This record gives sequence, C-alpha cells and structure tokens, in this order.
Amino acid sequence: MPPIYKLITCLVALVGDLSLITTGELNPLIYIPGSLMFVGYYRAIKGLPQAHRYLTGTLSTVVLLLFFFDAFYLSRDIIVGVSHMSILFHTLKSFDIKDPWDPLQVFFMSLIQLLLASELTRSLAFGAVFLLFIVLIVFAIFYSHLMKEGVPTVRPFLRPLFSIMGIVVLLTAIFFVSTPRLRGSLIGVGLSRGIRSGFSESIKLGGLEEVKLDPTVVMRVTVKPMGRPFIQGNPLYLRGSTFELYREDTWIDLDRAFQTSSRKYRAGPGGIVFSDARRDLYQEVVLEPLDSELLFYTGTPVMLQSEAGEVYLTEDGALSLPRKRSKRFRYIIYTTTDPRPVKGPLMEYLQLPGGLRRVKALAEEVAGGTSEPMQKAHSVEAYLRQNYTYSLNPSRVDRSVSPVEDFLFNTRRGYCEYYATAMVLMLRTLGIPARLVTGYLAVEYNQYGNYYIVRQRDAHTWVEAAVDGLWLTFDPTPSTAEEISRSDLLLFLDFLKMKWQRYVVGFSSYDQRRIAGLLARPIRFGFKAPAGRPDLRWVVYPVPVLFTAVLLIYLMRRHRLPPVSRFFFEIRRSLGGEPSITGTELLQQLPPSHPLFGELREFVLLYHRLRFSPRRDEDLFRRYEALYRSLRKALRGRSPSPEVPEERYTRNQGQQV
Amino acid sequence: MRIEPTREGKRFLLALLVVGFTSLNTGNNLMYLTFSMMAALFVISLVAGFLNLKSLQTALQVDEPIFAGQSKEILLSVKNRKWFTSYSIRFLLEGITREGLYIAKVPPGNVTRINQRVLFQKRGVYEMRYAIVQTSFPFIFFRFRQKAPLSAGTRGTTLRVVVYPRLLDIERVFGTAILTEEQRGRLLQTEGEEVHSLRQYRPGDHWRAIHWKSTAKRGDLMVKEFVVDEPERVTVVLDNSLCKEEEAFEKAVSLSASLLYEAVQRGYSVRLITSSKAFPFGSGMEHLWRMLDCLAVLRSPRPFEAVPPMEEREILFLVLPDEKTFLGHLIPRAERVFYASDI
Repeated sequence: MPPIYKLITCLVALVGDLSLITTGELNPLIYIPGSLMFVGYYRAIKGLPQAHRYLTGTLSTVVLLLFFFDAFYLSRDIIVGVSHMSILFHTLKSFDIKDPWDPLQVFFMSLIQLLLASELTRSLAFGAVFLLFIVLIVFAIFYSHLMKEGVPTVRPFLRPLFSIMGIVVLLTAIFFVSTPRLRGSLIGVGLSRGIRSGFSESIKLGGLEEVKLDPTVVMRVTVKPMGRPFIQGNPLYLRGSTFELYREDTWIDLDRAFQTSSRKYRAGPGGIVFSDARRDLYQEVVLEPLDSELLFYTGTPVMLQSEAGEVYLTEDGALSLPRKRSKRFRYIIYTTTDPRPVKGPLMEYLQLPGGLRRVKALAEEVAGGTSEPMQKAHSVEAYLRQNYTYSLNPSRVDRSVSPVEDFLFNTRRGYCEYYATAMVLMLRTLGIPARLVTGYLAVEYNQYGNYYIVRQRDAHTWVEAAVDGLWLTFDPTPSTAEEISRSDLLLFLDFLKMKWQRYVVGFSSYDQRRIAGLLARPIRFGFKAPAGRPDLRWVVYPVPVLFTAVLLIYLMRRHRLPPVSRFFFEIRRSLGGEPSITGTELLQQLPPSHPLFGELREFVLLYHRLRFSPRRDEDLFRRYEALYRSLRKALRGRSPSPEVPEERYTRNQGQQV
Repeated sequence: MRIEPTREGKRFLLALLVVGFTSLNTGNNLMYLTFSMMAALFVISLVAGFLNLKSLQTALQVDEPIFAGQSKEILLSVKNRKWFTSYSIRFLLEGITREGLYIAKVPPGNVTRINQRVLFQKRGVYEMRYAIVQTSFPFIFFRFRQKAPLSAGTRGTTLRVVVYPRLLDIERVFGTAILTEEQRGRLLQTEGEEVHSLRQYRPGDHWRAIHWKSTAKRGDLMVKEFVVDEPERVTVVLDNSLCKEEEAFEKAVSLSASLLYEAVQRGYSVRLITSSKAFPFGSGMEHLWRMLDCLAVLRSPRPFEAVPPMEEREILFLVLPDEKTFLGHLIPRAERVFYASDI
C-alpha cells in the first residue's frame, strides 16, 4: 500500500473526527486518545510494524464496554457515546492498517462520524468540514480504485479526478435541493438539539435579567420596503405579544392564556391572508428554535407565507403557530405600517392593581395640566426617559412596596420591563388605555446581507397606548444600550451563517416548490401581450430546452469525426464528390487548369499524411486547416484567403519528407 | 453491458438506503446533505462507469508463430470513438491472459496501443471473437463489463491464434544430435547450382567455391554452399493411435513437432504421418506450418488405416508415446525410435 494512500486515509479519519469535534458536544478528554491516531498513522506511513490483531481485538472490546459506560452513565447520551466510540475506533484502526480493505473501513467510519455530527450540530463549521470531506472521500475512493487496478500513481488521472470532484459537489447540491422532504418523522421522535429561549404568556417583573445578557442569535430579519420609505439599519420593533393584565407584579397575556380573541387563519394558495390592507413592508424572518409559538414582525400583518398551514392572530396582533416548534422556522410576512385602529371594549387596558396612589399622583404631576391624551402620553414617556437610569441590576431598596413603586420612587434604576410597566400603569391611572408589548428591538444591522441580527439580549418591552382611536407605540426606555460595534469579519461570518442556516439547514419543501416554480418559468417578462392578441410568451420557454437537447445530441454523437477527416469530407462534399471517392480520385475530377487545383492537391496530400500517420504533426495540421478554410471560402464564392502559414510549414516539410 | 456491484458497492448501497431513510425520517437537512453526497457518488459511479466503456473498438495482434511454452508479444489496439477520454480499462482475453491488459486512458478519437508478453501454455487453436472490456472507474462500487468485438484482428473478424506444440531442445533432451554428421553433410555441398549460404573456408574445399566478394569484404576466405539437388528425405511417424495418457501424448506431439522443425530448418524434404493425417514430402516453412497446424490440433487417438510406404533413401523417425504400438514393423526400418515416456 503506497504511503500516499495511507496519508489520505489519515486525512479522511481526521476530517471525520473534526466533524465531531466542531459540534462542541464531546467530552474534551476524548481528544487525548484521539490524538494518538497521528502516532498510528505515522507508523503506518513509515512502514513500521502494525499492531497484533489480538491486541486490537482486545482493545476494541474494551472500547465497546467503555461505550456502554459512557452512553448510560457518563455522557448519558447515546449519540455522544457513539461519537466518542468512533474516535477511539479511529485511533485503534490507525495502528492496524495492513490490508487494502482497512482504509475502506476508515472511510466508512468517517462517514458515520459525519452523520453523527449532523445530528449534533447545525453550525456553519459543519459545512466547511463537509466540503473538505467531499474532496477527500472522492480522492480516497478514486485512489482505492487505482489500488485495485494496481496503478501506483494518480498523476495520469488528475484531470478526471478534479472533474469528478466538481460533479460530485454539483450533484450533491442538486440532490439536496430535489430530495423530497416530509413534514413529520415516520418512526420515533426527533432528537432536536436547537437553541431555546423563553417567551411565555406571562412575565414576572424582573425576570428578564438573564435573557438581557444572552448574546445568542434568536432570529435574522430581512426587511424590504414596498412603497413607503424605510431606512435600513434603524432600530426595528419586532412585536411578539401584548399583556393586558397586571397582577402581583406579573403581566398576563389574556388572549394567549385564555384563547379569547385569537382567530385561526388557514393557508390559501398564496399564503395566509389577514387583511386586504396595503403592503408596506416585506419581512423575511429566520427564527431559531424558540420555547414559544410566537412569530415576530413589525407593523400590522397583512399576509404570511410559510410552511405553516394555519396560524392564530389575536386582536392585539399576537401572531402564533398552533404549537411550539423545535426546529428553525422561516417565514415571510407582509405588513402595513399604519397604526392599528382601536376596536372593542377597552376596559381590560385600564385595569390597575390596588395600592397605586403614589403612582397615580406621580402620573398626574408628570402630565401636568394638559388634557390631551397624546400630550399626556408623551409627557410620561419623556419623564421616564429623562429621569431614570437604565440598569440590568436594579437592586431592590424597599421590599415592602411593589417593584414598580420601588423603581419609580426608590431605586430609579431598571431596564425596559420596569420602564414599560411604569408607563402603562401611569397611563392607566390617567385613564388612557395602555398595554405592554413584548418582543425584540433589532438594532444590529448586517450590511453584507442587509438584514438585522436579533439576539436574546435584544428582548424588549414597550408600550402601546390607545390614543385618538389608534394604538400608538411609546418606548419610555432610554436608549442607553451599549453601542453595537462588530468587526466586518464577524459580520461577514454571520452573513455566511445566515445563508447556511437559511439555504442548507433550513431548506424546506416550501423552498423546493419555489425552485420548481422558478425552473418552470425561469424568465420573467417585462412586457405583456397587447389586448386581444394571444399571449405568446410561453413560446420562449422551449427554446433553451431545444438548444440544450441539440447541444447534447451534437456532443454525444456516437461517430463524431476527428477534424482531419471532417475537413476533407466537407471539401469533398462542396466539390460534389461522392462519399465513396478517395482524395486522389477527387483530385482527378478537377482539371489542372482549375484555380483551386494547386491548393486542393496540397490539401489532399496533407490529408493523406495526417490521416494515415500514426502521430499528428501540429505544423502540418495547421497548414491543413488553413488550406481547408481557404478552400471553403473559395468554394462559397469568396476569394481564397492569403493567411496561410507558408514559411514554417515549408521548413518543417523539408525536414520531415 | 453487464453491471455488477462489488462487495464495497453493495455495502455502500445499503448505507445509502439507511441514510436516505434516516434523513427522510428526521428531516435533518445536514443528514440530507450527507445523503445527497452519497447519492452523488453512487450516480457518478454508475454513469461514469457506463460511459467509460461506450464506443470502444478493439483489435488484437499476435506475433506469430507461437509455440506452446513460449512467451509472445500481443498488441492490443483500442480506439475510442467517443468525444471524451476513457480511463482505467482492463481488457480480458479469455484463455490468453488471466489478468488482462490494463490501459490507463484512451483519448477521444485516438488509437491507443498496448503490448504485453503472454505465455501460451498449451498447444491448440485459440479463437476469439470478443475481448471482455472491464472497468470499475471511477470508484470501486460497480464493475462494468462488455464484449468488445475484435474487429481488426489478424484473421478477419475472429482472432484465431494457432499455438504450435512446444519445441524441445532435442540435442539436450537426448544428449546426442538427432541428425548425424554424415546426415548433415549430405545436406549441403560446395558444388551445385542453388546457393544456400556462405561459410568459412575449410581445407579441402574447391577454390571455385570461394565467394570472392564476401572474402574481400571480411578479409577471410568464404565459400559458397549449395543445396543438394535432391535433398534427403525425413519422415516423422507419430503413433497417436493407442496413447491414452495425456502427458505422454503431449510429449510425443512436442517431439514430433521439434523433429519436423529441425529437419525443415536444415533443408530436408519432410513429411509427417499420423493416424489422423499423412502429409506428402515437402520443404520450406509453409510446409512446416501446415504440418504444425495439424499437430497443434491433434487430439483424439485414431487407429492407423494405412501407413504410406517408406522409401529407400528417407530417414525415418518413429515417435511412439510408449512401447505399445501397431507400428512395430517399422522399428527395424527406423533411423531412430523415440519413446515419449522416456523424455
């Protein structure tokens, strides 16, 4: 077995291990025995004696026993246990590379590792490892073929090898896109290991501190304006749900808790249509697995396109799926930027817990003498923004009062929940219906992909108040959040991650349908048939199909002639010669006085030399080709071309004849 | 074209099905990715292997004559009539080579030639209409096989290779020359009409026999040798009527062929008599090949119907597989009797 084959085997094993390591799910202790693989392959490449089969057999049994211990007691995870075991087997095998069959076992083991890794991770690193694996595995099994044929070197096969690598990558992409997807599993329960974050129908004041420190990406949102101006990169309020009832320091979403005003919408041909309002914004959201069924958006929803067959939308605008999703979810939502009109009774938005006299007094003081609800709301918002300090650690000063009162009168420090709660309660004490809105405030904009990166720490609460018949948004939280400054490289990497998550990890049957639609109608026409005339745009579609078919037939012709014969046959046909006559006979048919006789004689002479010579002379061929072109032009009624490389040909002819 | 999955191919196919089902079941797109890669490898293995063998034209030439036990060069020409190159192809020539001939690549439109020395173990006629063209390119999952007609062989559309019996070094086998010095002397003489060859001058040679031109060229006296007007006649009688032991029979055939070969080489007028066929006297290589053709295919024992009469001046060699023979009456007449069982 040549050392290069052992080296490739080592690399395939390494990539297999790497695919598991990049998941970050393994016990770091496994790296110690895993790294012994290098010693094994070093010995194999150097041709040193390999381990005795009794030794490898015994150690394999030990590894198997270790697997049971690991899977059921140590890691308590079968997949992680199998991953550990595969790394150990790789190490063992590296000391036992004797027969040509051994590398094939290593390749197979690496393939299993790749499958295990695909279950343990969704990261972009998997994509990089996967590409590396394709290149190596193609090389490795190609080399196995050569080994079987007894060919010692791969050098003569480099061109087909690289072509095959390219075709494998291309076909992998095609198969990936076209393989049918099922919406559910056939057998068993899926092992989902996605990111989860909390978003429930009740929130206790002060419970968001941990979330506000979490940099995990929750979603990526692409926004495109559809008529109305929109400034990309400006903060974007992505609403989730609204809370109406405040009791015992806890906000409760009555609609979600009791399913009171939520209405079910089913998907139609183009998606789920909520209203016929104007579509101002297009938002494409890739939502990570969340411990919530909520869908986030900005504005008022008009239409939703997604895999979901049905959704629920409350009067407050909380959009949700029938159940929580354990997988990444992508949806496109069209919204209008017009404020929601106030509908129905507003009693629940004026609900107040008892004992808020000081709050009411403060609200009245802040509102001053104005009677306009809009003025009052703006005054309260401005007061809170200007007189309180943003803090993620608002320690309580007086535990005998409610957290809101403690925030308003004692600590004067807090984060969005405190601000929003305080404003809602203050507005309610002033008789203005208000509600708390939770969601995310997207502030991180990636200019490489033109999308917002939304993290857990962007979780936000703000206020909606019923003013002048409309629900208007107020945000009393001062914008003291730290400046987001990320390097271009990190932003670019995030862009790659988004594309990976969107087009690979999150590829769905919905995408398949879109691609199928695109393939069926690849050309979008900017014109329409005149009224009363038939629409002939479809005529364009068969053209590329026919062109491709003709090209394929031409390329795959069974008896495609080499150029030497083809040139001669063409000239013979042009001169009206029968297919059965030879070059000499063709020449005999032409009188010597014919203006083309000289050229034709040389052409026929060269044809004989090139056609029946075992080796092709390039100079002769160039001359032959030049004569062919010249004759062809002349036979079409043009003058013979003077551009014949005479000099070099004559010199070489002198040497060769 | 026959497509056979290899052991590795069968296992890979099984793994592909398992991974495919798992992907479908879990809906895990990364698993789909791995499945797609495996499917791509599988499809390329099938398509590339299939296309690799298409439109190949083969021709085989063998350097004749061929004697059993001799290694001879065979030349395989392969023409690729596709528009793309064929790679890693093995040509199996049944009965001629076990491993076959391997060609790394055949460029489009070109004829690629490969030669290999092949040992022909047994005498006989090897007839081939097809070469088996085989490849497992580019991977090791499938073996593709198809028959490629040997369209431009040496003898028309069917390649017919006659392997003559093994030639024995008779002098080494028997320790003495088969033809005595006297017999040899009778073959060539320094007087006559037809010049056979030149040799160095020996004392006693007539000066008229000196070839002056070559003497001047070599600086040594050279004389002309002439063929005798009526060459001596040699008859080889092979008794293949009773022999049932194959090994002895083969040895007898080889011995007969060797005697004929040596005698013809020395210019004798030679004939062969077997129970199956009797040849008239003749000389020259064409006559020799005809007799060897007969010996190449000589198989089943047949009783002698009649033994042609012997002449006075002929040298008779009697080749008997063993001591059992119907030709006992020829033994006293024979110059020499060879028993194949003694070889």
